[in-house]
Amino acid sequence: MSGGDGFVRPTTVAQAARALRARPGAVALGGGTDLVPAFRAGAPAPPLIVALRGVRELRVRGASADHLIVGAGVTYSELAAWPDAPGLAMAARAVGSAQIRNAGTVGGAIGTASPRGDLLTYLVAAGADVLAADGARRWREPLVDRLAARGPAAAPAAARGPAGAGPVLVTAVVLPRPAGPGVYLKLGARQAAAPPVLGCGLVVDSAAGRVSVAVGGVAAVPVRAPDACRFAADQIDWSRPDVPPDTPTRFGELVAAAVAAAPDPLATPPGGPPAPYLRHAAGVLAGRALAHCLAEAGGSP
Amino acid sequence: MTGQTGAGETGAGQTGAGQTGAGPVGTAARRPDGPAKIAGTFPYAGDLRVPGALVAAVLRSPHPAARIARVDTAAARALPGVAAVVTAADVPGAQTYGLIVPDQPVFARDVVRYHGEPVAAVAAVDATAALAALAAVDVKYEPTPPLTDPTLVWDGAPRDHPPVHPDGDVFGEIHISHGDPDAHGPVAVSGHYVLGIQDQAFLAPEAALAVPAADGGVDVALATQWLHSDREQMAACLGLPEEKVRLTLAGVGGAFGGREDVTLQVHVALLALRTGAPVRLSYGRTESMLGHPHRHPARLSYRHTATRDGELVSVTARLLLDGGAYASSSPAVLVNAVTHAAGPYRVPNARLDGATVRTNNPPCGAMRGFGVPQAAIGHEAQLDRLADALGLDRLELRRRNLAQPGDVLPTGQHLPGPFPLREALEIVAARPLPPPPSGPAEARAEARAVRRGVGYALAFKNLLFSAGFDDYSTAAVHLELGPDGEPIAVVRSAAAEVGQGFVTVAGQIARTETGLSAAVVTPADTSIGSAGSTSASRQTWMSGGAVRGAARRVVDELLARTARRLGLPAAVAREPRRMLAIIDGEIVAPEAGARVPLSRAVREALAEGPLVAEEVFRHRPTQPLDARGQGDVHVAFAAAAHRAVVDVDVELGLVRVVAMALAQDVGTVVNPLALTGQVEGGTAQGLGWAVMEELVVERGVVVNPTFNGYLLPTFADVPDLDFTPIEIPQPDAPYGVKGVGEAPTCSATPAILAAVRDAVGRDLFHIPIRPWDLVGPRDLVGPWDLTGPRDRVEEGAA
Amino acid sequence: MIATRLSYPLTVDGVTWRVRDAPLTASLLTVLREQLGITSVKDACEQGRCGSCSVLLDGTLVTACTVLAADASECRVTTVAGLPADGPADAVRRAFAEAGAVQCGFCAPGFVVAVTDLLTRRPSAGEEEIRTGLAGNICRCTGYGRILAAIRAAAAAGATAVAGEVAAGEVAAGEAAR
Repeated sequence: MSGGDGFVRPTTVAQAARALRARPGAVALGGGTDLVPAFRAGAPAPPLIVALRGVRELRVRGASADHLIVGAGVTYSELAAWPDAPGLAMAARAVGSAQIRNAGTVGGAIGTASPRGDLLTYLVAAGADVLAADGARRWREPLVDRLAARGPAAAPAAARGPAGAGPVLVTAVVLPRPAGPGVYLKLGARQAAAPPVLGCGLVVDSAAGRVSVAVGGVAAVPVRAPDACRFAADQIDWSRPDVPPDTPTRFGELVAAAVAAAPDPLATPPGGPPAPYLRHAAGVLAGRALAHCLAEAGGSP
Repeated sequence: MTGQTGAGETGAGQTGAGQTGAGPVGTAARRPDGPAKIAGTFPYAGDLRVPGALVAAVLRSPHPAARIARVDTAAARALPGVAAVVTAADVPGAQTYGLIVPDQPVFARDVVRYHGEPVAAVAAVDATAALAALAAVDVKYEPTPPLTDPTLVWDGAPRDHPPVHPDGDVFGEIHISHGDPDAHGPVAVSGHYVLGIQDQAFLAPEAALAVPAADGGVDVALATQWLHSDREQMAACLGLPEEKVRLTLAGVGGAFGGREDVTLQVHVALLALRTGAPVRLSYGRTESMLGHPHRHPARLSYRHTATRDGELVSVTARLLLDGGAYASSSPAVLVNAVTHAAGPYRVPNARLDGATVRTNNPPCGAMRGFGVPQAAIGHEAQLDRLADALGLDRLELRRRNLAQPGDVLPTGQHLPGPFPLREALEIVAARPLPPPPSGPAEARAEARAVRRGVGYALAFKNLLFSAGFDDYSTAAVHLELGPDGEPIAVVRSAAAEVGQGFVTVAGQIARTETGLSAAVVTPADTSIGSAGSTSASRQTWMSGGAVRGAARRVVDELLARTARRLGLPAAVAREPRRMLAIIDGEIVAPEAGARVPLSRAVREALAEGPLVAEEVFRHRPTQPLDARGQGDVHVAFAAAAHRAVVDVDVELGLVRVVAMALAQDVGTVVNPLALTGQVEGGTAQGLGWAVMEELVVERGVVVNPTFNGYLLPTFADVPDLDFTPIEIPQPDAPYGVKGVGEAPTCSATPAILAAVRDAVGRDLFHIPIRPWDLVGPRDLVGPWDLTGPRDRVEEGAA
Repeated sequence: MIATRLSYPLTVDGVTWRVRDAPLTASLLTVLREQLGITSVKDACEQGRCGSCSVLLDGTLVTACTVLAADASECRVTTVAGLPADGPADAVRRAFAEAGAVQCGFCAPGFVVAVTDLLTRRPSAGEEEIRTGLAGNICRCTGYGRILAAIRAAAAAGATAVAGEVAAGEVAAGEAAR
């Protein structure tokens, strides 16, 4: 590579973090599915692009006794084929087309922090944390905090960490190993390769007796509806598991109410779905997601 | 499998009689450009490269309406690598152009009237420098309030409004008065329909390469639908005689009406002439979606009345087509929409009014169907609702009212035959339905929410140009010796191949008429006369007719020369087909006991000089509409019937099109494989408009000019098409052909609308259908009335 | 600020090119078309939404317009011209020509790459998998009907070929065993 150091290809996380810190305005490049079209559409050239393709640590994914860890460089296609995480796989399969899934990465999804991102919605439902690094240190924080720090539709640059330490590089996502079914349901405007309009991720932890839901596409960050989740957990007979037949519908209504009350709601795009429709649809998806999970766990509503 | 390996050249002919790739009319001859397209070597306009070519870019208005206070190009011109920056001041000839009314500025001068209107253009050494130059052009805009509601311009009559253009804002107005305007039946159904903008979305964005010539003219290779129309407008704007503007058709990646208008032609040629260098101009997708006219959005207001037995008594309709900022082909689109507004039915009394108006919305013009898709949505939705009001089966109501050849249409024109609409209806009605929806057990909840709906739609679509337009096509056929020494038929035509398969058809016709197995179609250019537009489903009929005529006459000449060489009497040479024929590769004269191998006959005939004939083909004359909307306005019509089956998730309002069936009046089939491809493609475009395609415009600004925001049907969205062609030869057409490309687009959309209505049990008034149209309270739907009350069903009207 | 330009090698269809002075942010699509003159890769949307620029990157199907060209510098890029000869590519090309799957043809090279990739990985893909697997390749002309017919024909040709090889292998094994 010659002609100026506007492009570097580190091989370790430490090198990548240092490179991002060394040049203000530097951006990290994952699969490129958001960044490269943005450049074509007129986004200004950054002073430095730090390509992560060669950082092997980011490509690792694995399962421990109670956690799944997914490196930021893992692609949607790799997740879609991962038998250890069926709900995560379902969310990954919902993204884009084969071409996009083959290139887009988990880290890229978090960096772009689209409020409608399919994978992000599921990861929020799954209670994921991110592992992050900057020029000074490494740490772990909840994914929702990282998404809130980024904000919707941010420019394609890594967000700032504490002053002077350089931009934050997400290195991996950590989520509890599934202790029950997980599902992701997507609402899009065509049968496949559809930009997400609304998504609902739902995870059931049969061991702990908990339900966790997230709805993407309605607010700046996926909405979690804890009251609805508590209601569902109370209704479920965990020994079977089983629920009264109207529970999914009532659960859905509570989720819709949480969506209606969410802070930072997204504005209705021109020609886009009116807020009452989105609320209603969120409730429908949530109810179906719960019904799916319970059916999978052995009891049917 | 014959295992032909393609030569990979554009237009290269196949050799060898009888091989599947090389058949005559009526066979599934393979495209001559297929192998190159598959290999990626076929040169589309955007692939053309010339050493030393500059790269051009266009500066476009971000505002839908604004005064231009200042355009200062000095800083842009001073940038390194910038060869020229041009604006309205640099246009040497006519300042405006247009297909019908030359009202569209080459560059906006004092005012911009739509989002994306060109203001300046640059040529530079590369794309980076060109974009930097655009950014350096200093334009001072003073935005003004855009006029975006077409009803402010016309609501049955022109209205007082702040003018968008000093020449006036009504592009066209038509009033068709048929029968007794006061006649009405006891049962009535009214409805108002709002149709959004569809974009042609051809995959290859606009592109051209212009090379200045030593004679002061310019040679341009480009993708377009009508070379000679482009040339005429370019010459006028460049201040050049037409002979100095020479156009060659480069590879075209789809069109569907979106390349009928001039878009980049004058810009690229002007820059080439200014810089003295070759100039390349290519649009990206966003620029393409801003840069060409779209399908007209429309507001339709209908009232149908009938007897209690279901005989139509009257149709009253008002159609308002928003033509956007400039005229494009709006007046002609309006003629189509209004003359088809009542549909292919016997309508004894009709009052059909329509207008197309100027606003600050995006300009609209030609798209596959050309006004008829809009009308078909209206008349088919009305008939379904009328059937329900009468308690009649939807198909039975149609059966009782189908138009037949000889019936008088609202324009006073007698419907010409053949017109197998009844047959088409019965065919689709009888086609097997798909199996009921099924899914895995976990999808129980979703399965409960799915309702299946079945819908039908009939449509008729005019073919060829109309209303007195003197349309014609020119072609020449040469008989030559090919590189292998064997005779070959060379077809010259300016007909634009845009993917529809004219190059294949032309070769088939040449082979059929000459008996030669080798036929080649040369690249289209302006060195021969006009072939007319690739639109209006006209090329197979018109340019096919020209090729056929030219081929027949060159064969006449060949036979004449052969007759003389055989020593036959002079009278035979004057009418050679009385005694000579081409059979199985030979010229035979049975009465004279003579036979000559065709290749020898051609070789010997060529010794006397070139074998070439040119033909100009015309269709029968038509008439414009008079003040009452009467006239013999359309040459012919094709009939189509679609059935759609949809599954609707009624809780979410999501539509899945499960199956489509089509029966279509196609005339003599030239190429069955190409026919299938065209009707499948036309159906898919109708499907797209029904359920997902809308160019969203907010206060005049296009919101979604990308493939992320404007959704096209994918492989997963378009089901197989169950297609039955009805082949009745069309009189006055070569071989009895009919145009096939547009009719299915007209019937597909209303069939899907009907199926969704059947599934959800609610009337639908917006195209495309949105999920929230199907779910929840009706007041989720925004205001849509043109005028007057919403739908009602009344009985016993006075 | 002067925009950064880069020079780097790029290996396309087995040939290593020297890309000179390409803009930092140029996509692989732009560099292929503008710097290397490889125009078989098409620019219908440049946003990853149409598949007309589908290529293989180290054997994986991607859209060239979403890959930073500099980032592809140490990868193998395969276009329609470089698809492996010992796979389904030939059958796919023949089938597209024979089935009437090409009209304007602008989607064709991208489809050939994507279909070849699909049939290589999933030779017995059913209709549902074909439709969703290829949802990233848009065609505006055909309505996909003749393309589906071409894919079925190519898949069947591949199955026949494999069956032939298996049969030949069995015969050979049978002979060897004697």
